[in-house]
Amino acid sequence: MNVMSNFSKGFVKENPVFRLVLGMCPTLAVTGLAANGLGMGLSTTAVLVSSNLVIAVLRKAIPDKIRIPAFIIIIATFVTMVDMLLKAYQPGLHSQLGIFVPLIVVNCIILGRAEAFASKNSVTNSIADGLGMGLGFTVALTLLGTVRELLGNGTIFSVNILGSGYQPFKVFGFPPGAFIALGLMMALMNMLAKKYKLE
Amino acid sequence: MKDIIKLAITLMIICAVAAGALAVTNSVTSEIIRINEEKAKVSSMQRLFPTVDKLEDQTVDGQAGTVGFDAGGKMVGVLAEGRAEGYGGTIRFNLAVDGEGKIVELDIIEHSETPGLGAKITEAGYRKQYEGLTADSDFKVDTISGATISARAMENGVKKALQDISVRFLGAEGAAAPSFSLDAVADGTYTGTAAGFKSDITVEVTVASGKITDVKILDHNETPDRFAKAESVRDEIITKQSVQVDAASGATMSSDAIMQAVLNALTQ
Repeated sequence: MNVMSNFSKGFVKENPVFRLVLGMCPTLAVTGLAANGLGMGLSTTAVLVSSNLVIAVLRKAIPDKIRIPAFIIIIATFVTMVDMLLKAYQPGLHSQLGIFVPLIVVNCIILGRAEAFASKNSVTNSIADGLGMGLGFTVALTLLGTVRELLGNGTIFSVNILGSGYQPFKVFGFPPGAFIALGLMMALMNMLAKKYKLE
Repeated sequence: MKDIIKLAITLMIICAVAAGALAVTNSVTSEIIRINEEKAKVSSMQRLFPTVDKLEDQTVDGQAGTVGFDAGGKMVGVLAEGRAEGYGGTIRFNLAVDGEGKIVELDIIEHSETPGLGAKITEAGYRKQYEGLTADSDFKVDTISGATISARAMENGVKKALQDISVRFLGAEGAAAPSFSLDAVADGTYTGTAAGFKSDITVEVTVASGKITDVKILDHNETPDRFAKAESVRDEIITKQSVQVDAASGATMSSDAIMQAVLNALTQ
């Protein structure tokens, strides 16, 4: 696999949310608003690229027996750094995402890519993989956030779309609505994947 | 054995490097975070109290506050921080109180409430409800559906912060602790009301020769099977002759409300 296909697979073929079904906790929890989905996705991408990079560099130095604790320390360090940086430079977004920024540590996409990809592949390929997976995650979260915000609140990125007469589908703002919206979008993705033979 | 040492040392090196990286990031960002908060404070003081001419940071009883004075040296308001224990952790908020002890504005600085639910405490519509309240006000604001715990935490936290600020910075009389002695209560029947989980609970307390002889629940609108548990509190109050008894598990709010209602009845 070349660098390009390592990058692009994260968007559709191996999209972490719609195809691999990884990282469901933040996916369901923060996508009530499109902007939160985008912010969460980009923060996760930053952590994913950084941790993939470091793990790929150290992949021969880290003994197999302690690879999981080593990966977790590396990931947790980057997450804490992102948390501090967001707080310093994007305080508004930081307060919106709240507890979910520190929780990127336990996002299984990150550990999953470290274990399945970065620990076995070259640095360039690992960065491409992290960037692709992260942006694929971002696109999925933003899409889900857009659908939920539109149905649950009548707005997209806080811009009123459906007018003041719209009676919002409140459930889409809550976790059950996240499951429903995600299920429908996954079904749609599966249908499209079949139609265009992406499997 | 040699293997274990090698593993331990590798992990130790990784941890040390991680700690170093975090220390560097912290030293870069902590100052910016502090300055951000400082800047926000100065600009919000000018917005809150337009007549502010001079700011002074004071610390009274361990509470730090920014006191604003107008050009004539008269105190126009205080901005101080308060805390509430929310659903996801501590909620830090700034409370602006004018010279008369009225809330001018409530602003949430930091919280870890659930995005989309408890995080609604940060919305202007919710915070506005607190404006104009004083320490003597009945702190009942519209709660947030789906985030009762966060909203309740705010009600209690803001009230406490306002009382502290009034006493510490505005020189108000300290609120008397709700102390009472049964001896001081004349025989008779008293009714009292307190806010329960869903709505007010009204009780009727009978006192005869210095003892609580009966507690009747006159009116409540709590969840029936939960409230059945809380009713054990009533018997406890009579047995122990105290308004401070253990709450029934699974019905803490209703239990507390019964105790409060009895206290209200006896101290009116």
